[in-house]
Amino acid sequence: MSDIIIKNLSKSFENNSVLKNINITLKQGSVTCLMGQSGKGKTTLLNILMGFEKCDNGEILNMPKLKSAVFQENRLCENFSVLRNIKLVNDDVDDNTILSHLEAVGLKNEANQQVSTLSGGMKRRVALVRAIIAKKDILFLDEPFKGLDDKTKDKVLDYLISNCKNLTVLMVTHQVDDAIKLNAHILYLKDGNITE
Amino acid sequence: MKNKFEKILSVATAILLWQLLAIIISEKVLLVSPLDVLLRLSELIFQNSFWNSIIFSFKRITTGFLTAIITGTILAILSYRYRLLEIFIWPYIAIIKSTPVASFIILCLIWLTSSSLPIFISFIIVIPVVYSNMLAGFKSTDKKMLEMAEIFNLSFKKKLLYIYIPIIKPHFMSACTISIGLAWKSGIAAEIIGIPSGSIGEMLYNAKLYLATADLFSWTVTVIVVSILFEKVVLFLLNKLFYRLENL
Repeated sequence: MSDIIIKNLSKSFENNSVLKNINITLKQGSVTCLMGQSGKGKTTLLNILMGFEKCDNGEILNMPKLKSAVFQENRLCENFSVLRNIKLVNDDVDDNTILSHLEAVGLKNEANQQVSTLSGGMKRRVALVRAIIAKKDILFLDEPFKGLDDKTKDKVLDYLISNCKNLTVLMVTHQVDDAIKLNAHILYLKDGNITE
Repeated sequence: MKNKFEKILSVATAILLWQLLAIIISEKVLLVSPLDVLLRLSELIFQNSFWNSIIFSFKRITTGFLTAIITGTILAILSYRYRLLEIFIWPYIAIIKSTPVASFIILCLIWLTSSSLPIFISFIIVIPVVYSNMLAGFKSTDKKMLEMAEIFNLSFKKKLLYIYIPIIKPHFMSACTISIGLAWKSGIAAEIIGIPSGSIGEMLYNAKLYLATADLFSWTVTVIVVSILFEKVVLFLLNKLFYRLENL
């Protein structure tokens, strides 16, 4: 796997230039954190990289095929159990492995519970475990700690650190502390431009 | 409806009101009492022709209903996939929705035999209901969930089971609930006008012809009961089917 190179990427919405000639290199096997004010194009950049939106100009080189993500919304199958939601993304993983992951984020007892009955914070953790369990070469995280209290967040952060070794990760966050704990390369998105 | 007790109470009140009206009117040609209907029904159920008529109408109306369910669902899937087809189909659906059933029946009587008329009429009345409900269901599919499926490379089978079916299920159940009643109403109307020999419609027509009001009410009650039973069985089977699919 090589570094992912984003070259001269631009995106506008009705004359509003959200991304202006963005140039970034996502180092293979390392964590990159994208920071910036809300509504300034962080999720748009993520959506372009994930392939959900088209950019106006620019190119993305070496983007791996196997992607995984924690979206801004949880995007879980609400009528199904936690276990089935996670198993959905990877048939090769056995139940015991999933249970050990759920235990790490404090959700082992909820494994057979229907997702719709869980709290917002619990759903967030399920979405994170699902993203980790999926087969992937790159992991996109859009505010993965949203809705978590400090204690749970620390637990989830530890879980993320231990499961993101040698994995290319691009994370959108508002907390510098999270980026530091993840030993991440920090990028700021301001007025459509990237600064380090 | 809240519970069984409330249902029983409301039905009992309606029957009581009917009985009171029959006593007040005191003219059996105009309005028979529920007791008279019950007595007539108890005679009819011992006649082979009664059951044969039910089977005759049931077969035809069910065929029309099931064909419409399958065709309507297929057309909705294709319209969801190909917008051009949706645009092409909508005038037909709009015409069928707003045309009086009697117009269809009279027109189709020219083209079809009277015994195949209830099949076609049930079909043509049910199809817009199924098509519209199913298409609305497919259109309400969360695009964000489809993006999730794309990111995780979910197979078509998984997308169907985890994304489409949970969204489609209430639309499909609602379409079936509405259209079963419509299929029976329109199918019997077709039989009354087409008068296929040995059908419930023929029995109703004869009852009207000979002013046999007890027969008219008895056959009407029979149609209501068969229609409700059919609806219960279909919904039970569909619930079973969806439960199995959700637990695959």
